[in-house]
Amino acid sequence: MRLTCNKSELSESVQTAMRVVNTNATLESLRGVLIIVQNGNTYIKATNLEVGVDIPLASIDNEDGSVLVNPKILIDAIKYSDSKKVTLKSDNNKNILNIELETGETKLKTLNSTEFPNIVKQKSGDKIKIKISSIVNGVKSVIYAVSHSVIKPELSSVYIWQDGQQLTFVATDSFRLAEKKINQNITTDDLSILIPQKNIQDLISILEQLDQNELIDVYIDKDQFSIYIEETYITLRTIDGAFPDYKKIIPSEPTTEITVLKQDLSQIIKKAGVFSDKFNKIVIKVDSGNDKIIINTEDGDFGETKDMLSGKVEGVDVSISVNHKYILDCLQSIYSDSLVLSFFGQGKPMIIRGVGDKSFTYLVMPMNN
Amino acid sequence: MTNNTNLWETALLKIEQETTEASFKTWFKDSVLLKQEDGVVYIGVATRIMRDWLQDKYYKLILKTVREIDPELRNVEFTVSKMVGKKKNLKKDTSNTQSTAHINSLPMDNLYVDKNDNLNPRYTFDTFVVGPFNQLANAAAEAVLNSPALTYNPLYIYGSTGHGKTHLIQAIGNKFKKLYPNKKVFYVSSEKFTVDYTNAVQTGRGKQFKDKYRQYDVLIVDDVQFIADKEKTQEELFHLFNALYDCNKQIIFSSDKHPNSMPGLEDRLRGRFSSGMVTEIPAPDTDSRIAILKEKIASHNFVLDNKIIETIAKELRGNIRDIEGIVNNIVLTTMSKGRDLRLPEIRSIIQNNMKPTKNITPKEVINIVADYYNINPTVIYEKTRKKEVVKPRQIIMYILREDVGISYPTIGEQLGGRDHTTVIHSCDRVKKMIEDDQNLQQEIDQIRVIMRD
Repeated sequence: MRLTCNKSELSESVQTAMRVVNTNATLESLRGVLIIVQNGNTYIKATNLEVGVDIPLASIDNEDGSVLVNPKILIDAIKYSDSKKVTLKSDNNKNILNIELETGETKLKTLNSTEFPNIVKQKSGDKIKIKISSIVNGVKSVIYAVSHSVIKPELSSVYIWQDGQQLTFVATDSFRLAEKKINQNITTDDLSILIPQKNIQDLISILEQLDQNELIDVYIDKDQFSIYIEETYITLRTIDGAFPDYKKIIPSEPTTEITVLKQDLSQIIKKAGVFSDKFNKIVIKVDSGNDKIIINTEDGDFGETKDMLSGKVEGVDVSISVNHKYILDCLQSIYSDSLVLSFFGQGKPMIIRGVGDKSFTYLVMPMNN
Repeated sequence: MTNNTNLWETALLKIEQETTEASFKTWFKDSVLLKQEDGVVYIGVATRIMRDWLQDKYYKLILKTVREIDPELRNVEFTVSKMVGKKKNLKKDTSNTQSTAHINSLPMDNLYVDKNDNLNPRYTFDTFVVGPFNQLANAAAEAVLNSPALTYNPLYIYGSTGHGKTHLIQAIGNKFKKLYPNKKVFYVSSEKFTVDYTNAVQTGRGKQFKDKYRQYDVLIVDDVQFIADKEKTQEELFHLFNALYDCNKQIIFSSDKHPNSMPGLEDRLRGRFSSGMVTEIPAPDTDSRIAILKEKIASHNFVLDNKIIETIAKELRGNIRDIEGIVNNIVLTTMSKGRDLRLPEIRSIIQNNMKPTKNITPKEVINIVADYYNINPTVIYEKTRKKEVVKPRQIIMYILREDVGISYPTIGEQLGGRDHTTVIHSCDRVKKMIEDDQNLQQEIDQIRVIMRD
């Protein structure tokens, strides 16, 4: 194999591909990134069997062949040089990759690539065109709420479905639930997929590096979610399962609603969190007479604390206990300055939304007193 | 099935010898045998990348190995399957339990709906209580399952809300899925059908809509009364009906009314609805209510005294959904109190949970009942003992006493100055008559529904 290319382009592509690589995989062939020249075209490939990446690389002086290398070492080997070009050469029989820079030469041991699987580019299933930012924003708004348990794979996944004209992202660990809607014209019928958290995290870490306004093609098939960013191909395994019909548990008609500033609320919850017990419990009280929200902790290891915040209250007094971490989690997904906290009575969940923002809904179950 | 599993387990043992440990762990360890049919072995793997790899690189080895075990086998096929990895998941999950032990979890267990067919797996025949009131509907459902599309097509089930229509038709769907795994079932509410149809028309995807609904072997349309007055949707449903019917596909409808008394329905559709089997699920009788209560209580892993169950069944007149609500409430209250409830406590739960009857005046009750029995309200006040008048008059007294809670003397006064003993006698008489006469109970229930509206 032989190729010459731009050093930073190679570095970038390998960096993208290595995000899915598990360098501790049982199988040696899965511990590296494959550099392959096929019919004069160069590709960088990587997979952990659940996610596969295939990135084209512009190169000259090509000679067919392939090598599998440890991506981190490859990047480090070319990083510390001002050379613009890099030439990769390998003799297929020797397990060595020659990396030639203008300033020097490295002999890098390669990995056994005999069992590196094919990543077949597919264009089957329903196709949608979507902005990168929509996927990134949708997933990041909810992904922290997925369950880390292995018992229910559907709850350790992000659920993506079509609700009218909106692409809807949902995640829940059954103690809280986050839902984000993105306006997106969808031409497919009844889109509904579940992508395991680990896989979609890999995808997001790749997409985040790219131009957020770029439009990409997404193909959704029964067991596969595939993305084309121009010629770069990423494929993810989806899981076959049913997500609970969660709409039915989002209550309407609150007994109490309070509007507060996000920044202020975040501060007093963080403070209360310091003094919460080992279950992260804080108590939220709404005082309708004085238009105030009171947050306090009791019986913490370090003492107790109590803070008040003014807000506009509609409805009756209410008091519930919640895990403060659950509330802090969602604040990054709300872009409004003010929040509406809705309560539905004792033992019922509370709902957090941004003022004037219907796209994001967050549901938190209370703790027992 | 044991044979099958053995085949693959033996094969895996042999394959393990032929491959390195790392390859075996990566490619084979989580694979499962899905089925063995006509000499073909179907192997399930977790991802598409794995499937392609096994197909390309290990096909020969696998085929050779399985044929050594069973020479009859001709082929091996690989599919991506959700069954893979199920075994792993049986491990007890201990993560997170500590920090979340004190939090109530969202009540989602009953909300798993299969997106492919819209059916809720919770509705099965195992949890469907069959009593005299729904015997007929249940028998019709069984007949449909035994020979789909041949005996009763369409099956049309109607009854008031909360009598178990949705449960029954979804149970048919779920059972059908089990019996005929290769056939397609689809459950849709008529409201969703309408929305789907209008969306399809608006976005120019009418053809896809038609194709989608015509592919099912069993189509279940719930609450079909909601398509009343929607001409275009009715037309589409009519064509869909014909297409499915001609291909011998089973169609099941539920509604709150008999096709003949459904307003805003086109005649041709009315005819189609009635052309198969039309059966009613009336309100459950007391014995059935007891059985349903027991079932609901058992589903909470909860035990209640038989006497208490009987009391609830007798005092609770509402539909099954009301019964469910009250059982939930009793279970919750018992749990929070940490002891069994006493009868008066249960009574008060029932009273607090019954839909409050609106502030209805005796005059309104009289008008409703008179209207129901088609007599002039003025004759109620008269001292006539005609049979047509006596019965409604007694029922009015009974309802005023039981539902509105007016005292005997006041009722007497309101009904043209009768003595309170007359009223007591009438109420007792109606109570007795209800026990013997199913129809009377139904009539009174219907009057109550009218009163609530």
